[in-house]
Amino acid sequence: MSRRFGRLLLFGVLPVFACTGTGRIIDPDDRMGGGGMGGMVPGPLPPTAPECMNAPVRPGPSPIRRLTRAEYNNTVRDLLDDNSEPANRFAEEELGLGFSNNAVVQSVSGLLIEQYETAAANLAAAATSNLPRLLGCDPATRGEDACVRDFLGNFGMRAYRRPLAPAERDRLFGFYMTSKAAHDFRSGVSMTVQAMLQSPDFLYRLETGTATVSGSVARLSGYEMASRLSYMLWATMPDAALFEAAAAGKLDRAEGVREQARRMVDDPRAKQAVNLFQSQWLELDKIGSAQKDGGLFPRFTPVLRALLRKELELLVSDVMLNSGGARSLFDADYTFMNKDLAAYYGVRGPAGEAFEKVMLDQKKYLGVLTRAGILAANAKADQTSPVLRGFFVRERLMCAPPPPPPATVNTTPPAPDPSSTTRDRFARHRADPACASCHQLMDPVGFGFEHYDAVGRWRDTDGGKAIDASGEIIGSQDADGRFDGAVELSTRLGKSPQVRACLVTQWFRFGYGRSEIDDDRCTLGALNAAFSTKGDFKDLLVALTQTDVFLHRTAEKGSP
Amino acid sequence: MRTPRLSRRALLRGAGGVAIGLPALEAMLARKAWAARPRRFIVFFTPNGTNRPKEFYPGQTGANFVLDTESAPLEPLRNKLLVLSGVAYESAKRDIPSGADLHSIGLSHMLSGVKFVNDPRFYGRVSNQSAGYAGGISLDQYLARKIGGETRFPSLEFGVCTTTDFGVLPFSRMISAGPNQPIPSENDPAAIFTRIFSEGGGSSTTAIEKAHAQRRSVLDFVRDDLTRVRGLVGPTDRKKIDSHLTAIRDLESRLARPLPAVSLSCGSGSFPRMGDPLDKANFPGTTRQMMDLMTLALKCDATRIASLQLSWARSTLIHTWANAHKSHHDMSHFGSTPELTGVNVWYAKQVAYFAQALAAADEGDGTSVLDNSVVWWCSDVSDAIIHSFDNIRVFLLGSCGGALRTGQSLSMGGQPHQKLLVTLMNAMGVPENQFGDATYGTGPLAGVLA
Repeated sequence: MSRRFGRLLLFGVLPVFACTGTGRIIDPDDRMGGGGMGGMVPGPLPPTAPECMNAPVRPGPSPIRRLTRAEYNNTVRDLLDDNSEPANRFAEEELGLGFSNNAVVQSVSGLLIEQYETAAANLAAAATSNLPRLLGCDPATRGEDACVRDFLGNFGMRAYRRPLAPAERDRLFGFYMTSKAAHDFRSGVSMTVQAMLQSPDFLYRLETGTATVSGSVARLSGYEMASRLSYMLWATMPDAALFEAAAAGKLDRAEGVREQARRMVDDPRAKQAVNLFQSQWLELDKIGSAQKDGGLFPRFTPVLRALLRKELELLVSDVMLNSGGARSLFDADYTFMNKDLAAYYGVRGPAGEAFEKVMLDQKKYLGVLTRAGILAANAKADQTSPVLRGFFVRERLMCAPPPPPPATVNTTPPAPDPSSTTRDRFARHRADPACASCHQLMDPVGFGFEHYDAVGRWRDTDGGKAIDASGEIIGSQDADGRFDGAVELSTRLGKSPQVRACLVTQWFRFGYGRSEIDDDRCTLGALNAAFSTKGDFKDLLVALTQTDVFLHRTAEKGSP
Repeated sequence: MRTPRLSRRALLRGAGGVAIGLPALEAMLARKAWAARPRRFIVFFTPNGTNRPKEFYPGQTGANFVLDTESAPLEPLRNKLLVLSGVAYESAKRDIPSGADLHSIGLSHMLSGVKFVNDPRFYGRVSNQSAGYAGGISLDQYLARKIGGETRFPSLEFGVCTTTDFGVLPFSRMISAGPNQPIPSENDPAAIFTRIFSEGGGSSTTAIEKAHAQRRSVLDFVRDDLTRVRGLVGPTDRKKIDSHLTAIRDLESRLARPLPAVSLSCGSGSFPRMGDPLDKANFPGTTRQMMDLMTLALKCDATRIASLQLSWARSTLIHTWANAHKSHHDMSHFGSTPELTGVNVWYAKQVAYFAQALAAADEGDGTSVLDNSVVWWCSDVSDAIIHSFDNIRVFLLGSCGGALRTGQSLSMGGQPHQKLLVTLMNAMGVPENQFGDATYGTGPLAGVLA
């Protein structure tokens, strides 16, 4: 450790990104996409760049993707009209880059296999409790086997999200017959449904068909494309219209894909995907899980936490699907509250349980960054945290986290001193050069939120003193400069191309289920261009369906 | 012999609307006699090591050791206790230059003894450093493969609030099936109760066997599907399909085994639900329930390999029930304070409670379940301030059927923990000579095995 300090001092004035907590010097010019570990690649290239003009199709890795818990719940709801949400009882999922649908981190354990089995058994039991309804015909009049034969074709197509080959249908029918003979008619149907719900054709989004374009680049079948569309934009299985489009060959061309995408982003089901995205990107789980000092904040109950989370869900999905661009996330002059939430914020308006649109007092509030849920989630149990809040802005919103802290640093926050302000207590971060080189990236941003206490409510004093919420962004691509308070900060972030590009990167990761690589620089550039024309989120979502990555897949070497 | 079975009424009588805990365990079991006493292996994890590295281990070796404040709750069990100082996660030290979070490194080495799989994708939301899952199978899972076939469950993984502040990350997973193959623990006591005991007393053997036959038939069909899909995908995806296939095959073969009679006499009915197990305010109650369930599972011989993970490596839990008001991890970087000691004493009391419960479980031949077990109280780091991997926590409870000489404290003088893993493996009756990265050491620790 002392050796590292010696090296730092030798350089005199430290370049901004030279924190060497891990012994790595980070290129001070590498600011595109974030020089630290959160920015994975050197950054997007515009469509006019030479590398991107007439570039070969490079879809990047196309790893197999398994349904996430949320996707499983939505899928069985749409497939079986079952609202029991069995996946809530599945093992909690590992995250990759903050998202549970990152294909690389998806794994299958013995526990999960048992949970799939239990879920399938319960779903089948519920479904077969009304056999005519499930089968779509009356076995008593039509005949059991004839009913089931038809059912397998229809249900199988929806469960596997593609038509069954005749051999497949025969095999399923054979299984039903054997099971029926061993037990009874209902068991025969139930066991067949259970088998289908545990089949890889159901649990995974298989992409194995179709001719290659060239080399290892392959197209997707219409049905595979339908699933890509429905899971990315709705987090569920395709609907009838998508299946029809697939059957008619309309999804074989980018234009047909775009047409469906435009329909889908206007559909209320788009909220399902958007909510999944934002709850992970903005880490909304922390609203429920962050421990708070019950003595200091008795009103911060589980019920209130749920309301704060719901506020953000409604606000972000409204901005993304109803009103426009990245800017609106940060300068939205409204939010949604019900009566209890309004009381918490100390505002008047809504009268009952239902959430209503509420306009904000723009002297104090603007956009998502002034919502109590976000501010409470990024604070300590008994005090605010400029570091957590500053880090949140840099890492989540700018995709530019500072380098890691030195291994042996003492990261304990100072004890809340009732007679001093937060800013005073963090003085050491400024005074000690080993701390300052990284903390100057975080603390001055976080101080801008000092008007919101540890549970996100507005306050005018801290430690008995008036609050100084002045701050500064340094080391960014385009948002540098001083500001005073979160409203001004939010306005600046709303105008920042870096923030917009970060949002695009986050959607890339969530939409495609993988991290970006060098080959994706042109794709990211194209997405940025589509998004910044009008800055409308729906344009971004549709643009995500028009890239090489989405319209093709890479068949890995060694694939059959 | 008529085996007493716990009826639904008996369970609910004990619960009475305000659940206190599991009803008297004796009522749930048939008395059983073992032909040979099975050995059990239990991992008991508590986070963030110690802030009293000098005092934590007894200064004395031999039988007259004195326990520090933070392990004093184990005093009543001293005859069953074997304390080993001087063992190090040597292999973890080599991963330090990766720049990854040291808690993640420690946790990944703890049970696997191999280089971890560092991955920037898991970077930083916990500490702005990368992290990664274990690079190999954990010892408990290896033992489960060797001896787990004799019980209904090869192993059972229990946990309390193991998800980090930022979701499930490597800090949450101490058990692994192989490189980058984390195994989740069950964090909901009611769910694990259903999983273990729903096929228990009350159902006839015929009914259970019929249900198993149906399940196997379905799984057989699914397995064929997976085999077909395996042939359609590329090499990377094939690995995923393979582990899916393995899991299906394992479940199928478990269902094909004859049902061990003793587990049929265990438990039935519903489980007294105490409150949201994911709510940290319920952490102590959930911990108690998990320990009771583990004890029951071991007594019922539902499994012989179990693990309990309390919170996560680098835990930021605030233990208000132990009069602490700061995050555990924050405190652990600030030196030893009475507040932090209170937290660590609370954890030691949990270990003591669990070991006492096993000690009170009579095997029917004068020995207790604890006598035939080894419980390893372990942690991700030792000295928390510097994230040291020296003098890692090795408090062993139970002599594992006489394989270990308990009632003493020994100094190993700086041995790699691969040898500890071999020692535990040998104590469990698996006579292999190496585990994990053998370049760090082979064979058991000297002077530990009886």
